[in-house]
Amino acid sequence: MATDTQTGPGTHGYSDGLRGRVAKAANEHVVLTMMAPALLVILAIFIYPVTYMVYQSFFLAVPGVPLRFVGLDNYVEMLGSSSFWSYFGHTMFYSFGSLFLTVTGGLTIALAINHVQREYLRNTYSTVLMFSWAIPLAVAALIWNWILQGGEFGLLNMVLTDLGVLDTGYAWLADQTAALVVVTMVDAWARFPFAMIVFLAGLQSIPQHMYDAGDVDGATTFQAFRNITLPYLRPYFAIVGLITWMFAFRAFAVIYPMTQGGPGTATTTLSIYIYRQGMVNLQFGYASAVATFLVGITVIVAAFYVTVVLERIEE
Amino acid sequence: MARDSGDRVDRRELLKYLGVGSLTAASAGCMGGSPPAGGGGGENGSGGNASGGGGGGGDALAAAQEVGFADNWKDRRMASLDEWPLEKREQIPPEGKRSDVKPWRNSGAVKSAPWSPPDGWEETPAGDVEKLQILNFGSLDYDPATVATYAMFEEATGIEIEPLEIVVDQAVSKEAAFLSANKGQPQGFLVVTGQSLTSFVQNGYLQQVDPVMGEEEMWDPYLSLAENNFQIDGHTYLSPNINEGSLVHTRPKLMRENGVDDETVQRILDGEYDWNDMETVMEAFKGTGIAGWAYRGASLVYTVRDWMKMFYQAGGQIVGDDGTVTFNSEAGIVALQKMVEWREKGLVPKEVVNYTQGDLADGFLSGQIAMVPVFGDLVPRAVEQHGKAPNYRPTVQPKGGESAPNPKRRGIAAPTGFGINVNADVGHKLAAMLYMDARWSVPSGWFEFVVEGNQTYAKDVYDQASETDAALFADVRGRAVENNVQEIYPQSRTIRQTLSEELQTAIAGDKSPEEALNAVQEFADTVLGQNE
Repeated sequence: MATDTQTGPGTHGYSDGLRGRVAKAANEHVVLTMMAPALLVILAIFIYPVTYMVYQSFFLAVPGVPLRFVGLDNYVEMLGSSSFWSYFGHTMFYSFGSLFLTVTGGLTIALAINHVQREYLRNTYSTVLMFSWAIPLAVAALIWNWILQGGEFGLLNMVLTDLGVLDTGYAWLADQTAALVVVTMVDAWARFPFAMIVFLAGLQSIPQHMYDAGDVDGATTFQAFRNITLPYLRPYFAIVGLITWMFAFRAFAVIYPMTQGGPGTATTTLSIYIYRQGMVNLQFGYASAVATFLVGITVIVAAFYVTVVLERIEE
Repeated sequence: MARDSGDRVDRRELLKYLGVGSLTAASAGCMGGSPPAGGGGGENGSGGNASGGGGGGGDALAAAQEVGFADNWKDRRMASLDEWPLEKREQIPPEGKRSDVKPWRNSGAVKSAPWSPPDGWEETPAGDVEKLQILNFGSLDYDPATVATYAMFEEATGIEIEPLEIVVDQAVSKEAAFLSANKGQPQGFLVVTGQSLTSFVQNGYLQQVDPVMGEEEMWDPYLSLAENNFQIDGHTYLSPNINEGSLVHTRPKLMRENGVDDETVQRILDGEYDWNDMETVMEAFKGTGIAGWAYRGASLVYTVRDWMKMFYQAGGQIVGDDGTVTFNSEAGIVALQKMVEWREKGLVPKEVVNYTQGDLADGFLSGQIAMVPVFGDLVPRAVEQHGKAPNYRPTVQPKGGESAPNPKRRGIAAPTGFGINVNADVGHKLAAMLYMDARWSVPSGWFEFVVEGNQTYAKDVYDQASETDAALFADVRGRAVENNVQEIYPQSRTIRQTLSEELQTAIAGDKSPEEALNAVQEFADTVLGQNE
């Protein structure tokens, strides 16, 4: 006859006796053991580097000079630097601009594809549009670099001058104001397929009877969109918003191949600033302080999203 | 930022530390222009270490005095066309086998090369050395002349060279790491003279090698650039490695076809032109889709270089006679003002603010730019792409124009030298000095100039290559290199980063040239402790 203590770990419950507690501990130990390789990898490639980065941010860390504790001085220097705040402003413009374009573009195209009746066409459109997401960001940046090249050899300039929109080619990436807008748009171009595919999945999960009920009540298309589609898509907005913004906030791969942070410093974001301070100027302590700030902001926003926004959505 | 657990250190001290630290990339050295303290240079045998200064290795210096580098040096290092005939020089390994020492050792060029080490070196500790480890910047696939010199050295001494190829971007930080750790290997390494020499000397990382160039007349066969670049405070630390420098590449036929008058084109080809002639060319190409001229406005390294060429052409000098480092002089502002003005007037492409390392060469080769200020290694590719005259010809650098305070025909040099690790043992140091001796030889210079297409310090090589037509445009390249200058000043790497950022900002129109260079000057004053 089977008893609780005979069922063993992994089945239904333990007795309160010693054997039960041992079995439970062994079970937990096995779980930890099974998880250990993954935990070690996370420890090695994430927790250790991030911890070391934070640690290093409190030091004067320059090759050839002994590591020297400087407390919060790197942060004081950073926060007192007008360049830092300028680059932070570029980063905010870039990340929120990319987020806005990605979400609006992704949603618009998802709505359009969702209205395609034939499934194979819907799948074909989705697949083709996913290509820009499949291209590595640096490659996408180089492609756009060529398209946006100034003078008559840039593809966009060729098209616009042939259409008579421009008299002569425009140097898109050489203009102080246009450059940041252009790199933001390229970033959004590379990210919108992700938003599109998530929104498309969301749209397809909305029960048809909700729209049917709306029709019965005489709802217009816009009213149906506002009162049915948008509320159903809210969790998808949250996921797309968080992921897109986080990646754009730390973006490097689009801007650097296109403008190297220029003209002047017009497209220098915090990631590029960190690269220059750390890998070019070899001021590892200061670069770590800026990196810690960047990671800190990202973590705070992510935590806010997870604990507040997602919970509200669930409610 | 820098402070001792609690007490804040002011920004000035921090910047100084950063500068010294950037020795990796090297800058630093000789703060305030004073001679390096400590270490003292080895003749007293005190050696040198990271505590600062001068390079030491007294035992090695004493032993080197015994070797007799200055004895018979002309016979050992120099070679005329009679002594080393062209047909022998041309017996080099086929393309594809030039990055390997063995084919070079078996080649007629190396076997007949007249360089030999000083007599009696085998009796010194160098005679016990079997291998010499040398750190090279990047792959030897791109350095056939270096491999040829390795082969010549191995053939003559029997000492095998063990190259350590380091990715260029990591090379300087790797050097700083092994030097600051007082490691004895690699025994020899390359030094970017304009960036690293002063800091390496200040930190006592480099072995003094005065005996290798023991007599003043030993410098005579070489460009004066060599003495300026390889000596600090009268002591020699390096021997030649690669010497690159300014050249201007032109498309004469294209210029004529686009309306540039014959006189202007001829002045450019004759090397008798200035900024005004360049503006004539730029005007002629305006609106054609081809640019007459361009520069690089988005590169940490190349924006500084392109400005410095114009700075020197305007008559500028960074290091004053009293050792003061100045960037915001009239020449500096005029040079930057010209760069900004040309962009604003559309004389250069608007996109120069996005141009980095390869953009000028690519633009020239693809026919989008008619004249570019790019180093000499573009010559073979330009000939391959455009053919020789009248389609393509290099010329020397321009002089500054009317607005320049003191117009001069100038360009910049970007040399790397070969230095010896102060922590190596005496035997290996002596062996490395023998390698330096080989590096000073005409055969080594010939391999650099003719085989690899770099510049060389040996004046004879330009004459011989020109006489035999062995190298493309040897005469022009020889004349151009005479105009090239490089100034060595403390904290150069750190200052150059700021200089580059400020130049880019001014070129993009965010700041006036004066404001940008004043900001650089303020930074330099702080880092160098000037005006204290």
